[in-house]
Amino acid sequence: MRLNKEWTIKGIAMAVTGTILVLAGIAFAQHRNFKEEVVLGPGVTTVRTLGDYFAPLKGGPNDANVFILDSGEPGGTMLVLGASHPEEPATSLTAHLLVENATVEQGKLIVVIHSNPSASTVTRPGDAYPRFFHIETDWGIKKFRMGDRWANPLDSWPDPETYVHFPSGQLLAYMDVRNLNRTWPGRSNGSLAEQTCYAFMRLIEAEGVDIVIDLHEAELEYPIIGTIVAHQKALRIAAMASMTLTAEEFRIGMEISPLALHGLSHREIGDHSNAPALLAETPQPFLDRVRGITDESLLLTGKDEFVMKAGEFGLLYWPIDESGWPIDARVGRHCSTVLKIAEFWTLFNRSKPLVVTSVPRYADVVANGTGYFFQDPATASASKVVYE
Amino acid sequence: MKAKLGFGLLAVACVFMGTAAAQQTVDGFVIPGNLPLLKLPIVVTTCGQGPGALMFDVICDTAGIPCEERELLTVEEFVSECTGDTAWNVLVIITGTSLKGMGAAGVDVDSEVKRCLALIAAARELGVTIIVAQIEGPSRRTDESDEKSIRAMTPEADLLITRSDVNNDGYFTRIAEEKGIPQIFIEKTLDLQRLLPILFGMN
Ligand SMILES: [Zn+2]
Repeated sequence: MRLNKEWTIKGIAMAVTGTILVLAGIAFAQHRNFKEEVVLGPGVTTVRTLGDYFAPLKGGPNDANVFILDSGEPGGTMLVLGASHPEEPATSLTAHLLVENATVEQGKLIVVIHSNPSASTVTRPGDAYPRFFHIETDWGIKKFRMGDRWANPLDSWPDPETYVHFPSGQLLAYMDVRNLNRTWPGRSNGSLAEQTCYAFMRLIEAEGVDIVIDLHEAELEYPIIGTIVAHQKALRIAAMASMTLTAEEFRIGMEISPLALHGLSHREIGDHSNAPALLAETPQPFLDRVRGITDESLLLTGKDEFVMKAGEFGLLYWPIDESGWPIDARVGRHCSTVLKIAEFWTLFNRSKPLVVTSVPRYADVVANGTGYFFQDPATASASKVVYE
Repeated sequence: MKAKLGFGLLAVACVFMGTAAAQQTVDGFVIPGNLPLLKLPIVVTTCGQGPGALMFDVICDTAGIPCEERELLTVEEFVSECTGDTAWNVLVIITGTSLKGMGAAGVDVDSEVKRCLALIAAARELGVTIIVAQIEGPSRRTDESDEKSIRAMTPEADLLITRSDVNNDGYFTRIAEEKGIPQIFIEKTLDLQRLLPILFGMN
């Protein structure tokens, strides 16, 4: 009798665990296999993938799409990296919006929507991150993957005891061997993220990239926020962009890339290529440690009473009020920042102009919403739809 | 042109009113009557290795104002270069710190304050006018280091140029009143593009 009861309990426990495992597995697989639809805008001339620049990535998890918008006119070349950290969704949305809208009149614009695609196939279940988020458009709801800061362990495993950055030898946290903004300039036989950075460096060489913008978002508890971090070779562009954006559109600061901090895009790309990198940060309350419920609403509205409370106690480096930090404001900031950097690139390098048009600025994105700028894949010709 | 007229009026007002000159609004800036002597060229440094000196220098470039940016200017360099024909006539110290910037330069806020206080003492001796400026706003008034830089430099100025959005606690107004230092508020860093030509009589 007693034995029966014990087996019953064990059986139920097994069944419950099994059910949870199956449900979780389905949820993980749905997220990992979901593809975002990108409609190629009028400016896109070629779509390559990272594997075209470094063959070992071909067909693998980080064979990211590379959207090339070439005016055909001589000029400067800019590379914009979205979702180096896929848990910073305003960055991939901005890159996506550039691909669907931008036209280039002089020079060449290269856009990557998911720079570390593997990291966009996983979230932080322990932090209760949503798997997806949705943006309203004129033609319906557009669905996107939420991601993590690090490449998916399914694609990059195991992590080392300590991550020794190449080539500086600086010791970094073990999991940062999967963090695309700690593995620059990368190496051909390294971790997935290191190989991805290595491929980007080859792309920068092959395409003659003159300047790189790496888009990010940050928690309000972090001092490097609402700012442009600049490599020494791009200080004047960053200073002018920061000052004019602050005068004309929204407050944004500037930081100089520290010489001794390795693995970061704004440090290594400029040190190991001709192209200096600038990193732009917007405020994302979703990333704050003190946040409340971590759901899609927080991700999209940036409204959180606990983060606001932290602000009242002077614990934040960036202001927040009842209106939060909505996704449209964050995408708009990144759009204007990219445009302004292109403008000042052209001003300081008159022989290599880069003229980008048809991209909304901050006020346009805030007024119309991000969704307004996405095209309907259902009505686009199949040859114009690319899957991310 | 308008600014020149305004500045002329200011000068006339100063003559009529003697030393107790009245303040004047020129191109939206409230310019106090007791401005120090401002002559070019300028040398600019930061007390805390933020990007403020670079911003100041870029603005001078775009406005055609002779200015040299020297992030780690030492008192020895300052004294030796202030004796030649191209001697600097104005020392601008930008307050607010960057921890990473200081780390990269191998300095800390205390050594920065010490370096800048030595520059100030030398400037006084050489008759070089000292401008202390907070031009980056709240981003450069967030922590203890920023506060140290601001509180050490601000009272030493001959002229203060201050972003109005860092004066929420009234510190800058109070110190200017206590020490009788003329102060000009700007709303945005880029306002310097209009303000500096007015101050240096270049319009
Ligand atoms: Zn990031």
